[in-house]
Amino acid sequence: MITRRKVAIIAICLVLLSSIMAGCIEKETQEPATTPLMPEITPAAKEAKKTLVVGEMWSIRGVDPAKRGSFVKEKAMIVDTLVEANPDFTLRPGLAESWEQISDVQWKFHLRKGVKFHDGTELTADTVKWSIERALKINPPVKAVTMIKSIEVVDKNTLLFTTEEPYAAFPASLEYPNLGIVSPTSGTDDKGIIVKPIGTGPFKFESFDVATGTLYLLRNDDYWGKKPKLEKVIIKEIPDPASRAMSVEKGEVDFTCDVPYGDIERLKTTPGLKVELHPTARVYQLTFGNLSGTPYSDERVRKAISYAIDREVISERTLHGCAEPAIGPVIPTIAWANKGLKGYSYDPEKARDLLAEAGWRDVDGDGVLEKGGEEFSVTLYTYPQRPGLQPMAEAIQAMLKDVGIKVEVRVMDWSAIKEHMTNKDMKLSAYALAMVPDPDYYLRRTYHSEGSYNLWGYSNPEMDSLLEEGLKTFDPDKRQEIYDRVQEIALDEVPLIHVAYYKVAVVMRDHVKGFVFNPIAHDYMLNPEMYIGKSND
Amino acid sequence: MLGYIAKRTAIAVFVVFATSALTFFLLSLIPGETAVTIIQRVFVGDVTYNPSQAEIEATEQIFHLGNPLWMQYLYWLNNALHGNFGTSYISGRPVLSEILVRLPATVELAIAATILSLVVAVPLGMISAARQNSKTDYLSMASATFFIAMPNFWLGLILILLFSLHLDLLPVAGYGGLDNLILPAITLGAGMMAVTMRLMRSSVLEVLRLDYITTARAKGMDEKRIMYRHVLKNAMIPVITVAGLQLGYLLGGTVIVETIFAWPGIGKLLIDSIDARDIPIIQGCVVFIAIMFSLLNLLVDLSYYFLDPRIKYEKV
Repeated sequence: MITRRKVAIIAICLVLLSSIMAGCIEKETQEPATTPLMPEITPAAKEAKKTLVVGEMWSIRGVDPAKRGSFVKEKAMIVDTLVEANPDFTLRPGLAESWEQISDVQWKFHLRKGVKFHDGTELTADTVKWSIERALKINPPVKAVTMIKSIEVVDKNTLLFTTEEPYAAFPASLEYPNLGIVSPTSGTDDKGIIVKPIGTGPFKFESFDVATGTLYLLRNDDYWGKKPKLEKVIIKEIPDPASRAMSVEKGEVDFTCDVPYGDIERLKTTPGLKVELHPTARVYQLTFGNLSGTPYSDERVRKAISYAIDREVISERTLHGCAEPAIGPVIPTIAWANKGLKGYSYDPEKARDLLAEAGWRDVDGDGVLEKGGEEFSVTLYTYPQRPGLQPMAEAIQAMLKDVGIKVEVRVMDWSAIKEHMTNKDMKLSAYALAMVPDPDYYLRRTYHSEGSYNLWGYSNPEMDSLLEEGLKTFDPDKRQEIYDRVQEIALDEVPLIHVAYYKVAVVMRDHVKGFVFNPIAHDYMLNPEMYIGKSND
Repeated sequence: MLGYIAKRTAIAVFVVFATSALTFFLLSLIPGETAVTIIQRVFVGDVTYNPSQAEIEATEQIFHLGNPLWMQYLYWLNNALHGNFGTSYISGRPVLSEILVRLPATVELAIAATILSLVVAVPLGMISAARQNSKTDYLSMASATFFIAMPNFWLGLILILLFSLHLDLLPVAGYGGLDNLILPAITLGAGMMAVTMRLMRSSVLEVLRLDYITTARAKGMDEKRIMYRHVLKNAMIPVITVAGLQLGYLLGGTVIVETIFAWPGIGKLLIDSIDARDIPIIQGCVVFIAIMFSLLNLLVDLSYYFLDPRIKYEKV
């Protein structure tokens, strides 16, 4: 009897063991080169002080620059783009040393000379053309952002770009991270996806562990810019915000961002850590279902809602300082922001007056306004991917209740909102202000009557013609005037309400030095000047 | 015996097939367009990007999303029967290799948690039953209730706080050595252990009331011997069933624990894929989980034979 039981147990163990082994063997044959063991981040490795370990907020699912440009360029620093951007969103030369406009639709770009890819091959006009055409082919939005019609190689170091139509934002559009230049010698899988990118950036690809989502980078000693100080960078995904906070607290990672809001105060006072809050090019916006046939068709109602929102409280308390009260549509540190704008102050009295003027009154005394027998009762939709949205939506709910608008908050997947939201509902979202550093990107998509973000049907002929004008005005001063006016109208007519600018919380060990935040980043951006120095305590 | 195995295998195959069809059609009911999600996740890296119609059409073409649903399913089924489960929209890698790469981590964690829970629960459950209504019994049952009620994301974070941050004994998160395994295995095993312990206790109590135990006692057999020789084996049957089913669940990945501990398993892959509407991976994972589950169920049934020869399969 006893032996039978033993046999049963042994049999089950054997089956399970063999399945593990099968898994391991499969794994080895599937991934021969790219599956190193998780490195032991031992104290010895830390003493070398040349390795930076980063806790990344999103799952890392690939390293092809044409698809995951913002990761490969901004975080992994493997590739460079032809044009780069300064923290105030002005342009500076990247792999292109200079550029000139030939005609309304033609641009000549001169490449930096003597730049080498990580494998030693030279950067030439041919490789740049190949790389950009590859991105255009496999990534549809690249075409929409750049409007490239054709690319010609003039000589070894010169390229001629032709755009579909006059496009003043063209040089800025080449900063688009998905246009990071890769060498044709990069390793691909059998479907042509790059699995071993060879770029020109300050760090080169060493290996990528698919299962754990960990990327290993080595310093590029032949970098064309200033030589990076770090020897190695390890980026590992830690999608859970609380785990990220604890990992940096324990020192398992040196650098991370977007920790739970509730942890920020504690981390600030934790010895050995520093916390920085930086506004980034992302804005929290409150949008309406439709601007016609709804209460929102009355501009006074839209203004009233804007006055009813206490942006200060939302930024400082609801989001623990991880937001900044919004004034106009773009963050004021951006070069093209209209510096003269005055935002909507918190003024619930004025909000009530405006609503009364628009005919909304609380007839039955239940605290909710009515007009024509209908209650001002709406649903505010938002999605879970950005942690600030739900608390912000709940704060707005309370603030609007205060002026007599009844709001129900519903959180659901971004793509599901479209199917539930009716014309009289509202939506709170966090939009990227600048996928490329040019005012045209966000403003035209948001305020043009045919803009792809403009789902609420805002239409103003003056706005349309200004935005179209901006697209083909090449003189920077005239262009600035146009976009100043665009922002002025946008603020005055409130087709949508800007609540706050997104701030990212960067948490690092205090031995991490030389980090400079660049708001052009989509979350955060590492910089080659970073190094591991002495701990402050 | 052979006939029984054949019958069970046929049922298992049917279950897997039905699951695959059901998942496929249910997935198409998720609101939102797949092409839009692919653009947002893969091409732009921003979940709020609103693509134009031209971008959507170009993407639909790249991923063959235009065909009617039943055609897509038959296409998938045909490929799957030939061992090709498709390609992830998000990573562009074959579904099978995405799953296999994550299998060792999941298997490791699932087995560790199961062993941990059995090692603790079986003896404790027996002691509780043997000393029914004693202090030990009350204490272990109370703690079992506590562990069942406790959400594992909370337990995970508390364990990290205690053992990683305050005591500095174990790593916070990650995959690799045995030290990485300890906290996730405890987190996952705790709830299971509690359930198994309660089950073991009631099962032992039940067996203790049976006639042959009375006989054993009457013939003067000492209590320990009764416990080990007669009670344990018979009481184990429901426990093995439940442990097997739970192992099946765990092999499907454990979303929360894997996320908290950055454990690169199938649960994390599945949840990432659901979030990103990576339908080939979701489909692949669900089919894989169905296979695992059916297989384990079969193993559990077969193990009864060894534990209790009175169970005759021909009659089932």
